[in-house]
Amino acid sequence: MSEIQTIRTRPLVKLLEILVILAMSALVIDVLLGVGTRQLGMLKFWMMEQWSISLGFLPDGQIKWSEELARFLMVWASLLGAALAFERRAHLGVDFFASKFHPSTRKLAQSIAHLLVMAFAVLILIKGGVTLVEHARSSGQMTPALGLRKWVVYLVVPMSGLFVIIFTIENMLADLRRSFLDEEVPE
Amino acid sequence: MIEIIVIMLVSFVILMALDVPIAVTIAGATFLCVVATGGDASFIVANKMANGIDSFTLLAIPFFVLSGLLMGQGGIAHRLINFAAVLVGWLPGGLAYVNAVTCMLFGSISGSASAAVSSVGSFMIPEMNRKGYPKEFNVALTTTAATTGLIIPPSNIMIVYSMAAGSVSVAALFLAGILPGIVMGLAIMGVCLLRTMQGMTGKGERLQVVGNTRGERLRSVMALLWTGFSQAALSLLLVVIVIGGILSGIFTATEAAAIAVAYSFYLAVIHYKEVKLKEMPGILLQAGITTSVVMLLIGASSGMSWILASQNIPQAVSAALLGLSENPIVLLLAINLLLLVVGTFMDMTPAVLIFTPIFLPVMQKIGLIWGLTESEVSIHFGIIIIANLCIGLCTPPVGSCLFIGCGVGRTTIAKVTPQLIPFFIAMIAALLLITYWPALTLLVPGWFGLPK
Repeated sequence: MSEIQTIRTRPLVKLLEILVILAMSALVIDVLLGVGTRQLGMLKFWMMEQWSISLGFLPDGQIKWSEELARFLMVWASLLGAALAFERRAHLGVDFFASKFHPSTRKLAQSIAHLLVMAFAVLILIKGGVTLVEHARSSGQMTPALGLRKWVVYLVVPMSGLFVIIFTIENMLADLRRSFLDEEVPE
Repeated sequence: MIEIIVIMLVSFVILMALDVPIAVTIAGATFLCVVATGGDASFIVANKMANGIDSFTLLAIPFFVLSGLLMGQGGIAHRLINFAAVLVGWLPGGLAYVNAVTCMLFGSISGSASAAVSSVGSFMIPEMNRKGYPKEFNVALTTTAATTGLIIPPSNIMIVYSMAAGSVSVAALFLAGILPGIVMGLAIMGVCLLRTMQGMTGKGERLQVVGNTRGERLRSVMALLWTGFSQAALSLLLVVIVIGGILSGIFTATEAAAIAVAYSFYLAVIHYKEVKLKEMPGILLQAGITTSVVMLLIGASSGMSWILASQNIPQAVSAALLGLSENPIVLLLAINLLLLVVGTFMDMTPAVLIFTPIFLPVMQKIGLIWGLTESEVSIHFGIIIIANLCIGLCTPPVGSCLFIGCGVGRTTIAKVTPQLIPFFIAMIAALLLITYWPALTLLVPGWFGLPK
């Protein structure tokens, strides 16, 4: 859990990793800006009342878009990060029962599990995500402060689905190759 | 409704047994249930998932993960150990208490029980081995004591719970955790006391007290205390900033978490210089991935609680349980036993997300009998479920803390298990106290007029 990650060299993985790192940094800065401007705004009004001076250069209060931007970044970081977590097999599972299976059954179970993850990616993330984007587009939903189109926020859902499928196919092939090698090399 | 329950249970059990990630298991079982009710399952589940994550409160999670990683890497472990050594190290069997107190402080600051086991354990376990404490006892102690940090605020699992229980005040949950966390820690130290009285060989550390007259010796002790405290103070200040900031209303829990990131960045990178700037991308990535795992679970669970609620299943479960017994003591015992079993094979976050919506309605009924308000019950149950699942983190076969503890202590689960049993008894005793004495949980939030 507390191990520090190293950045991978494969282009697609590296791109996603950099996006997640940037989104995480932007999240911290954005929320700090939100608190900072609000406190400064309060300080400004307090000082203006106390000493009746003009402090026009200070912000009036919390920048309006900070919370919206934070939520947008978080949805994107979470879904791209979730795809990366499939690549690293970092998602929480219950391996207690599967580890009790006979080795050959276990291999079969492992392949079925990979296929089920892909079914999840296709049916929910991609099919559901595309519908979600279409709904938001046709209704013309916008986020109030940023004026961002809501479908842009949702676009990450089908994108994440696509990456989950790529990574899961890779993991499945790697597992199959490993079990094939295990059979060929007697212990 | 019955067919929905059957579909949910059967698909859940099959997927879980195949070791499909829990988030996918939850989403898949929900998907099948929505199909059975005749809805557009793909769209509904995707919509619930995306909107479940889209919340400002949940933003506290990546921030607390990030500040926990920074603090954990930032060399606070030995500073906390020095502080704890002055406080309790001189007692007979002192190193055991030092270990327990450090785990409590570290767990609170880093918010991660696994990090507490690996950071505190990798120093304290070899040290205790050298001083003659039995190795398996040391591993068992570190493993169990580390989980108390999840009950002592600030704690990410409380934010997850507040979301699962439907917007419970995070500030109230944080305050509510303080006394139960300390009680859990004291119960664990109680085992150490018993073992010392039984003649465990480990000794305490002698304090370097100098001086001939009583006054000089007193001054020397005070100086030692001050040195230990001042070393640890900057790390402990993080907790004060977060809790104080939220309570005074200066910032929300999410903003407090962002400030915790800024503060721990300052401590780890600039002040202590234990984290190099070039390590930051790796730390940010780790925090991002850890967060994503939790967020996918939260998204999937918000779909599940929606379908359960739309079919009135939580009410049905609560009616069925109340049909078995009207006695709060029996019901709470049953809920606790079930959660203990769940905790042995399931991680804390999914367990909280799955069982909170199911058991909270029953708890509300019990709360009525006890004369508690709805929000008081939500707070109390949050602490019960977290304290309960802490025990599961240390139990074989799949306790994540136990695995790490055995790794750090270079021993096996089979060897540690006998040493763990007295600690389990102590933790269960503390859990029962927390469960049946709501005033313990509600006292501190009450001082601040929470929950309203």
